[in-house]
This record gives sequence, structure tokens and C-alpha cells, in this order.
Amino acid sequence: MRDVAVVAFAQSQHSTRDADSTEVEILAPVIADAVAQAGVARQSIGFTCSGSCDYLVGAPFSFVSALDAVGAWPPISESHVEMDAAWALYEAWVRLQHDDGTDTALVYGFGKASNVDVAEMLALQLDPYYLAPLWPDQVSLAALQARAYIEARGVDGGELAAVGSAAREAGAANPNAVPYGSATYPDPVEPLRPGDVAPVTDGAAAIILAAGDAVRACTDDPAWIRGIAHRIEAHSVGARDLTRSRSTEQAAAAAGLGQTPVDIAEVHAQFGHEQLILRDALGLGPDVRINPSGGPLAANPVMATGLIRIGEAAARVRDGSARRAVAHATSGPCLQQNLVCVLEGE
Amino acid sequence: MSTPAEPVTSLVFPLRLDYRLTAGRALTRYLRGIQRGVFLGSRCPACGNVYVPLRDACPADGTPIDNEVELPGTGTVVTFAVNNIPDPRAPEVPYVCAQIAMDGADVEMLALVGGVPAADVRIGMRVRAEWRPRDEWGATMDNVKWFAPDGGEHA
Repeated sequence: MRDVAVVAFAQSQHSTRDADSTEVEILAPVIADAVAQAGVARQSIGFTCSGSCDYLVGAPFSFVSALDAVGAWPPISESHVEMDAAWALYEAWVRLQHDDGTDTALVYGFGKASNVDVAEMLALQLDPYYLAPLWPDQVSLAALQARAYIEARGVDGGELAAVGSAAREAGAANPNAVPYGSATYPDPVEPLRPGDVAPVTDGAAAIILAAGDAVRACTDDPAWIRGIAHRIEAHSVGARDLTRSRSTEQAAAAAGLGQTPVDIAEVHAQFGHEQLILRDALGLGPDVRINPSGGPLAANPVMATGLIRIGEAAARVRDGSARRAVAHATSGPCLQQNLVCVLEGE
Repeated sequence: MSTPAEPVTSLVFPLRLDYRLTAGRALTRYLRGIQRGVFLGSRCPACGNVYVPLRDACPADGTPIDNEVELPGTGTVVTFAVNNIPDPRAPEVPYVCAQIAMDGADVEMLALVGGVPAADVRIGMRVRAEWRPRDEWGATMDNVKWFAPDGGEHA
């Protein structure tokens, strides 16, 4: 494997409703910030990959307009995933493995969740013949998983509530998180309560990856990707054991998590109980701080939230507050697909 | 063996999503210009291209743009198509859609051409925006009825 590192990470000042800006207007300064941090010429970046969702905008190929923020002329090598941008980062990591002269990659994700009721919109990702016509929204499905997990593990209400209060406390110290007083939230469905649900968030994030000699040209303190893997489970939530996340367990093993301990974890938990399920699946003990940034419960810019987990974990490694960190991203209903990325400093 | 069941050929799927979209900073400035009868463009400080509608990032090189340029609302027909199909949005039939190279800008705009028989529209024709009465103006391109011949031909 070719060693690849995160050499720059930028994100927007997330808000619960940015009515003034289009997606590309939120994204442009974020990409400019990441490019400036890496100290590379924009035109020298070898590969560009983004993650977004057309349903958030209600327009096909909406991601193409985001290229206005990139500088795509003369023509660039570019790709897109209709997924969280953590999977765009995975594609960029694979691209850099080719070792064919492409040594840098720009990855970005963006979304304005305030455009539409995202919880309702996400019913469209379900199977179109049986589940989608029933129109189960994301929060209602999450509530089914929460109940199953709480009953199976004997979780008390205090343990679940502690996840949300820790996220709020950490988010208050994160200048990019949605200011708590201004946030709006999807309506919770029992057993979920207001503090267990991620805020509606508009925002964007960008990461620059480098490999080979390009790493040192960008930074003296890279966050090395020591392992990255993703696994997927059955689409139907009725075909899975909702009380655990087998795909996270398998991705973690494939990414080499568990070989040496991590200091912090950034997990893509949009609901409090998801953080507990992911803690179990990743085997995180009480000494591992989970979501020091506040996590998705403090800022959830859909399609960038998973990428931000990698960025935040890399930032903790780069500033020396963690020697080794794990980042997690998810996609699909009830933690269907999961990506695990292990990062390490020098 | 039983006979195969009749195929199910339809499914009721009560799908509805409501969106609340906004124009964004650049397009809002442009439409506010149109509201007072002015075409606003912007010039990329890196490559020098002038874009209309106004943009706040260069779509070619990604450079931020924070200026604005007032355009005279005149231009030259670059290419056009004649449409004979009745359309409630068309001011008359046949109607002409044209790419117009706006004076002072480096990009073309798609617009209607009118005030001239369709058969007389030519590539290179000079045109000028014809505005609806001022009391009908809003933050919308509907303010411009069409582009009409301004006399003369471009080289």
C-alpha cells in the first residue's frame, strides 16, 4: 500500500439555515482554505472527488455547479459519489494507490439540509416497492433501532442522554458547530428525545490528501491514513440485527483498528443510540474520547458529516492531542454501510 | 400447478417533497440589478473574463470575484433557433431563442428575440433588451420582454 496522508482540512461555519448562500457559495471559501493550507497550486491537484445528494437540492446533476468552486478549467480529472464525501475520500485514496504521478487529491462534500425535510427525503433511499411507499422517515426508523438496542443491552435513559449532553458541551467549544441556541431539530420519535437527534445543518467541508513526496511539500505534520475500509449490510432494515453494527465491526478489523489503541474517535452518529452502537462495534473503551468535536449531534451538514469525522480526527492527530485516532462514516438507513479510517501522526 | 398470478402493474406512491430554495448571494445581486433595469456582470481578477449573470467565483479558475460591472443591455446574436410550437410562456408564435453575446461580457446569454419577423433574424444581428413597463418590474428576468433589433449588423 502507498502511504497517503491528510494534509489539509477545512470546513464552513455550519448553521441551521444559511438562506443567503447557495451550496457553491458555502463551498468556495472552504475549498480555497484547504488549498491554501496545503500550499499547493490549485491547478496542480491531480484528482478531485466530491460527495453530495441531488435530492437535497431537488435538481438533477446539482453537483456539477459545485465545480465553479473548484476551478475546473483547463479540464481536470474529477469524480463524484452520490454519498457522504467520506466515500469520495475513499475513492481518492484508491486513486492515489495507482502511483502513476497523481500525488494529490481534493475531496469535498456539501449539503443544505434546510432546503427540504431531510428525514422525509431519506425515505427515498429505501426499496421503492415495499418500504418507500410506506414513507418511513429517517427518525422513525432510527427510533426502531434505538428501542431494539436499548432493550437488548439494558441501556438506561441516563446513558443515552449523556451522549447528547456531552455532544452539546463539546460542540459549544467547536467554533464550526451549529450555535446551540440557534439550531432547529427534526421532531424526535420515542424513545428518542430532543437531545438525541442531530440538528438541521447547512455546510461544507474539504480535505486534501497527498502521497509520496507531495506529503512533505504540503506539511510537516501529516495525519497518515494507516487503514481505511468500508463494508455494507442488507438494504432492508428488517433483514439485519439492529442491535449491533456488523459492517462497522468488519470495516474496523479490515482497517487495522484494534492492533494498537486509539486516543480519540470521531463517529458519524446522527442519533445518540447510534454512538453507543458504534462504540460497541469499534470496541472503544472508556479511555477513548468519542467525538471531541461534538460530532454530528453538534453539526450535521448532510453529505459532509462523514468527511468531517475524518477531518476532525486528522486535526487531533496533527495538533498532537491524539497520537492515533479512528474516524467513522455511515450511509444508508440505520447504519447500513460503514467506513472506518485509522489515522496516525509521525 | 396453479396458474401464474397476474402481474402487479401499478403501485400508489404518495410522494411529495417541498423545497425552500433561495437564489444565493450572487444571483440575488444580479436579480436586484434586473429589478432596477440593469444587467450586472462581474470580472474575474485572474483571467479577466466578465460573466453575466454576475458570479462571485470564476467558473473557469475558481477565483473569488467581488466586483460588479454594469452592462449596457445590448449584444449580438451568435446563433438562434425558431420555434413554431405554441407555448403559453412565449409572447408570440413563432418565437426565436437566441444565444446573445452581451456587450462588455465574455459569455453568451440565452434569451428570446422579438420585434422582428422570425425569418429576418440573422447571426450577427445587433439586439437590445426590450424592457416591460417599469411598474411591472420585479426581481425576475420577466422584466425583459425580449431582445429586439437595434439596427445594424456586427462584423
